[in-house]
This record gives sequence, structure tokens and C-alpha cells, in this order.
Amino acid sequence: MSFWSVDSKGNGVVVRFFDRWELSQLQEIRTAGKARTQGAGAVTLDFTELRALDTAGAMELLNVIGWPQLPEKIEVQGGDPRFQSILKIVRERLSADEKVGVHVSHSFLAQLGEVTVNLGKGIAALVNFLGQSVMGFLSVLSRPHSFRIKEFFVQLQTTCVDAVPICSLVTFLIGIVIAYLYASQMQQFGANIFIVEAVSIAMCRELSPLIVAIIVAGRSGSAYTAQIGTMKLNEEIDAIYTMGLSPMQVLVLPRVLALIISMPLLVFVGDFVGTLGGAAIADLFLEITPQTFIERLHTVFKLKHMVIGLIKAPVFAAFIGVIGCRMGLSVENNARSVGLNTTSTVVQSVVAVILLNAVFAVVCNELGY
Amino acid sequence: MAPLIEIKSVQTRFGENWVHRDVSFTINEPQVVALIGGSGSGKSVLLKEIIGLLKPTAGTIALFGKDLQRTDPAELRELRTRFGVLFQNGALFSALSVADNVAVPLREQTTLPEEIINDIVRLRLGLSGLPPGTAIKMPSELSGGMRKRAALARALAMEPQILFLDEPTSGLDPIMARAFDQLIRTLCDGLGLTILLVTHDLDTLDGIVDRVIVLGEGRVLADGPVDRVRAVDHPWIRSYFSARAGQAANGT
Repeated sequence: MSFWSVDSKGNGVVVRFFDRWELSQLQEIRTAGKARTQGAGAVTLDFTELRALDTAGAMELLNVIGWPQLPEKIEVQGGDPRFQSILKIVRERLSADEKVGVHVSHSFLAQLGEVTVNLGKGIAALVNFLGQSVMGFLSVLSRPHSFRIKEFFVQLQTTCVDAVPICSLVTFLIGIVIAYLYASQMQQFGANIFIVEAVSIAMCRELSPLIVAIIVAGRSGSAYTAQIGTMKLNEEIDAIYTMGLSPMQVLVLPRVLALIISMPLLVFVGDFVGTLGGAAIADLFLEITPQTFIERLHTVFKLKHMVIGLIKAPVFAAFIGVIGCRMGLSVENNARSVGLNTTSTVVQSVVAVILLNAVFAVVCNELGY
Repeated sequence: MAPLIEIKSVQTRFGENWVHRDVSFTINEPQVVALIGGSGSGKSVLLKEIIGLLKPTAGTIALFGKDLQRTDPAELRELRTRFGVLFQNGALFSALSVADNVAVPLREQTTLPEEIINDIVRLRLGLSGLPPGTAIKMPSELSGGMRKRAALARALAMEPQILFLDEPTSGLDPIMARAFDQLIRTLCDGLGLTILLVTHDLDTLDGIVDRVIVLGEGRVLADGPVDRVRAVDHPWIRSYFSARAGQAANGT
């Protein structure tokens, strides 16, 4: 079925249009090709048998008669008067520019360069922000009353108290897994009793700080970015500035300090619960009673292992808090940016924590701890 | 022919709070209709009910003769392609360029090839008065007025017969606001669109609106051409229309 027909009439042509010229029909109309109107002095468009026309149809109609090189003289006859007004408005407003919706794609090299430059800028901005936070902290020390004590305790509640169950669960399970791993190996040598130092030292020195830091990065670091980012979208950060306050003082310091206090507490809980998990496995599979476990713990476990773990915790916390707040404050003026920055916070925090942990390991080893 | 929009004794209650006690009106022919009312009079709630985002507590709302509450999902989907909505702040998807924003309904609801979709996107941007260069920009790079136009282009994507506009001129300067008004009028006249807009803008009422519906006290306080509504003797309507007269008297 044809959508149009062309007849010559005098020195011009008559194009008759049939059927419905609508969005849903557009593909079929387009496959039918173009009408030959070039060179015709005058073109008459006959709408008598046209049953429907919408703006997309009108655009296609113009395409059919040769858009953007339209014949000089175009007449319309017959049909619904609305068709003419639709054709008129589309003709006025249709742009001749073909280049629309071009997707800009970069080469691999350009992308690599962009990522590298952004990484450099990100690190510079983080160091800058870390410095600002320290300055903010010092200025609070000189004027203690300007510290937001209420905000601090609210954050302490959410980052510490509310995180105890999840941290306990995860470190307990990790304790169990580590104990299983050692149990299956040590049974072969009859070295069952060594599970005590294996689990307790691994948990307190390395695993508990690391696992808790990862949980805190996912739980609190991301929440900081999302909270502060949404506040920025809502112009609340601008409002804070206008009132003569600084977001550093009102938002960042209470959060970072709350995290620095919370983390060691959570790590301590993790130390305890993780070792408990190990003791449970030792009792069930290696016939080491809890009593024996505790006695052995007293003789072999040195306090320094726990202290090293607890010293790491506030350092990790400072980085997680500062990264979370910085990414929140650097949210751009659109909703998508909040999501991107939140993801970025978690990635940056986890990478930072693992890097710092490696630094701690090297330093402790060199110092002989 | 069934009325385009038919609202019959709609009641809405949020908890103990009655928003609409008895709201009824009908729109039969293509025209520009404005919905006005004080803050909390339930204009936006009513608009959300008409476009099917909220359910009224009682009463019926029918578009093109079809009751929104009694349509099956397939029918509702089809119905939704027949009207377009311009949200107050544009609600453009911030992850997509302007062109991709306009193309979303076309890609989701039709099987048209990319080439044709591209052409339609260009036409829609033209119809809403945006230069073609805007297509590759991201929504965050646009000014308020441009964002509204881009959102209008997206609302027009599927050739709707009804267009719902939530405060189309809020946040625009008077020059841009009047230009947007003219665009609305042109679309209504040229394309035979029915346009229902929620507004606070007196200049929009005076400039382009055929009919005004005033909501208040949970019902329709007045309904008719602007001049007739202006003459209605009701305290809220009187103070609403004299707001600008007061401004002029104060010399501000």
C-alpha cells in the first residue's frame, strides 16, 4: 500500500497523500522512499484522502517532498484544516541541521590521560582537604565552644553503637573461617593448640581492623557522602556559608571525630568476638576447651598485637571520614553526581585502608614489633 | 466522542486531612486550561491523580473516556503515550544528554530505528524552541528556561494529545516566561493539543489561557474564561486577582 502518489499537472506536480501519517507509521512511510519533486515549478499537496497527520508525520511529509531543498511554491488543498497548521508549525521549527545526538567517544589514549589527570587532581584535593580538616581541628581546640557537640554524639550513635551488631557478626564469622582453615592444617601435625595464637593474633593485629574498616567505609563513609552531597544539592551548604559558619566546623569535624572515636571501639569488639569464633571452633573440632583456650591465650598473646590493631583503627577512620566528607562536598549540581561520589568514596576508602595497612605492616616489621 | 479529561466527584484524604471533598470538571475540546488555587488547595495532588501517580480516595478520573482506575496495565501503558507531562523542575534524567532524554520514550515505546528517532528528536527540539546544538548537552549544563524547554520536548516525544504542565513559568524571568507562554499557545493552536497547566502566574492567565478552574476548600470554586472567573465574588479569588493591582498601587 502506498502512502502517496505523484501526478504531473501543467508545469508542476500534484502529490496526493493517503492513509495515516503518524508516528507509529513512520518506519513504513520512510521505506517507501522520496517523491520526485525536484525541478517542478509548483507542488500541490493534496490532503483530501489523508486521514491523520501528526508532527512526526508532517516531518516525514516534508522529507518526502525533498526537505531541506523544498520546491519554491507549495500549495495545499483539501483535508482537515488542522493538517495545514501542523505542517506550517513543523516547517517553521524543523531545523535543517543534521548533526544531532552525536555521541562523543574518546580514544583509549585520551581516556587514559583523562583518568590519570583526574587521579592526580583527586589526590591533590584529598591532601588539601586533609590539611583543611587539621586546621579546622586546631581552630576548634582554641575555641572549644564552637564544636558541635550534639552533632558529634548523633554521629557517634549511628557510626558506633548502631554498627556493633553488624561488625560483631562479620568478625565472628571471619574468626570461624580462620579457625577452620588452621584446624584442618594443624590437625595433621598434631599442633592443635597453636590455633590459639593463630586466631587471636590474626584477628587482633590484622583482620579485625581491616574488616571493621571496610564495613565502616561501606556503612558510614558512603552515608557521609550521600548526606552531605544531598545537602549540597539542596543548597544547604550554601546556607551554612551564608550564616557565617563553615561546613568544616558544622559537618566535617563532628563526623570525622565521631569516626575516629568509634573505630577503635568497634575494632576492640571485633577482636573479642573474632577470637570467640575461633574458640568455638577449637572447642568443637580440636577438643580444646574454652578453659584451655583462655589459659593458652594468657601465656602466648602479647598486648602489642592488640595495641597495633587499635593504633591502626583511628588512622583508618580519619581517612575514611575525610574521604567521605570531601566527596560529599564535591558533589556537582545533579542527582547522578551523588551516586557517583558515593561509589567513589567506598572505593577510595577501601584502597586507602589497604595501602595504610601495608605501610603499618612494613613499619612495624622494621621497628621489630 | 468521549471527553478528553473527565473528573467526577473526586475526593482525596491524607489521614485526617481532606484535600478534595468534591471536585468535578470536564474538558471536551482542545484548549489551554489553567488550574489555580492557594497553597495546599490540592492542585498538584489533583494533577498527580490525573496522570495516574496517585489514587483518589473516591470518585473517578477518566482520560479519553477511560477510567484510570479500571484499566489493565497494557491499556494504561497505551494511555500514557497519549499524554505528556512537564514536571516543575523538568525532571530530566541527569545521566542522559538532552537528545537521549527526548529519545527515551521513543526508544521504550516504539520499535523505530535510531535514524528516525534522531530525526524526531531534532523535530521535538525545534518544536520546543531549542537550538540543535543543545542536543548533546547534559541537563546540568542548561539554564532554567532551556531545561524547561528540553523537558517540554521530551513531553512532546510521543505525539501526545494532552499536555500537563506543572508551573511551567516558575523560576523563569518574565521575558522567558512570556516566551514560554507563547510556545504553549502555539502548540495548542498549531497542533490541536489540550493543555492543562497548574500555575500561579497571573500573566500566563491573562495571556494565553482559555479557561480557568479555581480549586479551594476541597472543591471547584469557579470555572470559566479568565474574565468571568475574575468577577466571581469569593475572598480568595478577589485577593488573588487583586494581588497585582496591589503591587501597582504600592509602586513596587
